[in-house]
Amino acid sequence: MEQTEDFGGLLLAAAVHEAKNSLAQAVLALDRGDCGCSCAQEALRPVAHASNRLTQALLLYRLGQDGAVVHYESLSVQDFLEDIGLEARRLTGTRVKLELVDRVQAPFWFFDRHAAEIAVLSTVHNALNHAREAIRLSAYEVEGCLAFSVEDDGGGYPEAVLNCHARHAHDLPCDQVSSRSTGLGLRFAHFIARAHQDPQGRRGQVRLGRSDLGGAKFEMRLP
Amino acid sequence: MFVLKGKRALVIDDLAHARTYMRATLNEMGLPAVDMAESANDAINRIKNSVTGYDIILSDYALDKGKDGQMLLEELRHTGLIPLSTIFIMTTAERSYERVAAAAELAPDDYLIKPFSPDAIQTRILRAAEKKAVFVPIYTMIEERRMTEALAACDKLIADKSKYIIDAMRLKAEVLTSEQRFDEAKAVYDAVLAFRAIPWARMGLAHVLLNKKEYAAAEEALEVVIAESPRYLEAYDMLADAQAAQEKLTEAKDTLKTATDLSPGRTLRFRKLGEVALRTGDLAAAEEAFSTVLDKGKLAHFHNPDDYINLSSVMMEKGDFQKALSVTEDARRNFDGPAGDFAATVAESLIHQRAGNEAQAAQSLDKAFALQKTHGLESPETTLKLARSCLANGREDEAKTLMRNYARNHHDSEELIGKARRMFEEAGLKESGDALIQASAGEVIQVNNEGVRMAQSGNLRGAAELLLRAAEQMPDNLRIVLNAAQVCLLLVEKEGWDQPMVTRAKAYIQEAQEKQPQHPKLAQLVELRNRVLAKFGADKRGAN
Repeated sequence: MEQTEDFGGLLLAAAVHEAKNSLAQAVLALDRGDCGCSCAQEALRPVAHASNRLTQALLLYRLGQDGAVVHYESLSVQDFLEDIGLEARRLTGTRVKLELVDRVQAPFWFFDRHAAEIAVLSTVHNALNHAREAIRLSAYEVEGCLAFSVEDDGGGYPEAVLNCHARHAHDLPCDQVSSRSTGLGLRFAHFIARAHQDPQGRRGQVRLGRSDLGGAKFEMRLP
Repeated sequence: MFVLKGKRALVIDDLAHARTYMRATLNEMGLPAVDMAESANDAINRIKNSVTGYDIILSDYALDKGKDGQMLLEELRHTGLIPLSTIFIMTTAERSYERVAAAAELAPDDYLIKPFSPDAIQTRILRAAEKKAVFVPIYTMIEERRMTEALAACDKLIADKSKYIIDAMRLKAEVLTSEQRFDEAKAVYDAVLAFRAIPWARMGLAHVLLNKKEYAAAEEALEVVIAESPRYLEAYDMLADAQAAQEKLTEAKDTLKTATDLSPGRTLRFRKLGEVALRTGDLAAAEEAFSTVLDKGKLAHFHNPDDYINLSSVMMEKGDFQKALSVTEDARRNFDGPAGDFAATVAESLIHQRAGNEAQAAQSLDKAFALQKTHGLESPETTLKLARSCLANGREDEAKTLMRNYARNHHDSEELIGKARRMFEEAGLKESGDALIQASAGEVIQVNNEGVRMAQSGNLRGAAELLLRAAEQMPDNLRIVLNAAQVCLLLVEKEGWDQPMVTRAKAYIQEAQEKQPQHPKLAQLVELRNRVLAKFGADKRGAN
């Protein structure tokens, strides 16, 4: 099984660190004497983010331990998109408009539902930090692969990050910590995508780009 | 259209807060009646005692007291305690690869990985219900032996490009395998594997290859499964079978050892390990394995005299006759009754023979036969030993009578027939032994085919009479016995209630459940029985 270079302690520690920060944020929001419904809603996002990061960490740890990488199931992409749409809406609330687009023709696809869900939701978390008013979650087929994309109308990925990705033909995660993010979610998504392989040996990948919404476009391709 | 409101649910989790969270969530979804259980056995009791039964079961995988969620589900299916229409969803803290289900109907309807939201529970339940609506009719066709219809239904799902294509292919392959249409089944599994390397597809393929006696190919497939999913224990069991069939006994022994190290839970595996180790002459490993079986048996309050006999055989092979005899005494002591006495006596006749005590050997042998006449007890292992002892003591005719009966009762079991052949070979009677086994097996096949032919041509009564007679003569032959049960139930369903037939059918099913709970025909037969009982209002939930 292929592993990313620093899969072990470093990635796990980073994930736990982020989770810790998110939880601290949540505590602040909740720790107000007049805490009612709205501040609970405010706390929800960082708590959900912490939960997401810790789940990622555990998943990475487990994958490394058991040797088994991906648990393939034949899944209806429509159903999957519906499910993550539901979870995403809980996060976006009313502040940001969430659009779901399903353009997949195939009746089913083989992939790891749990890992894919965590990867996509992690990206939604990130998009939420930058989106002004709109996030779009899409599923479509491209070059024989199943693709999930998360787009926002925020600031977009920094030029350096986009160039790095294009240079490495989307096969390596670019170790760019930027104002945009710590890059942890991207690394995880990259790991999950690469862990997916078809019988012909083709692997998944993560592509970054610009969205026609004006901001960032994250695309995860699964063979 | 499946509506959640008013459905009955059972939540199983060893953690109290998890149970109450689930119950509250389900209440909010409109299910007022939600029961809770804290362990697998607790759940089984609740299901048995429930008058209306449950429509939805949500069980955690990691349950207490040695029985996990998957084991629970398999037991519920094998004993028919829940109908196939009951939704069973497994919750788990993380994906576990240890127990991948052997057959589609033994797999949960879905998995929920914690943490999950109430919305997720609701969606998954509704999706599972949708899927049931599609597949339960096909399972019904299968249990009624309307195989052509079942296959056509699967093909339609495939042709319609339904999202259930892969499930349909899995079911189709399983039906084809059970109908002995191995090449067609293989083609379906190959098609699935062309999509993706799915463990159950490769296992299904290995199963087909084993049936076709392509042991080397099966071995190869299973080695891939194990490499990809090292915790998939059933794969090790099948691999050991494939290796043993090729006389690669040391490899089989090593495979079983690896599996028992990974998961010391299953006693059956230790028994197998002991037997293979004995065959390879690894007496130390055999002794360890059989001792483990005995230790585990004592804890679980379930073991049988044969486990003692196995251990005493090892002692005998080691030449430690004193120890061998003390083990047989243990058997007698721990099984206060004729079964223990019989097994011990048979073993003793062999031990005395080997130790050169001819007079005592003959005495034990006579006693064994006397016990058999009075109490009629025989397990395959003791029958073999008794026959072996007869041959060793020059009583060939009695041995042959025993073995004719044995072969008729176990003609279907490659394992047991293999043991019989080896027994004759050890006694220097390979050729006449093989001929005897062949002739006896032939008799059974003839009767069975005749019965099946009659049933298929519509003569259910004739088939029932023939198969019931055969079942009386060969009560241990599960194929005959279960075919008899099935034909009886179909006859009752078609022509009306017949108490003696129903009683026999129920008894045969129960027997099979005790002897071989994993028998492939059981789940569908249990559904048939339940349906027939329900039809005539004789349906008592949970009663066998």
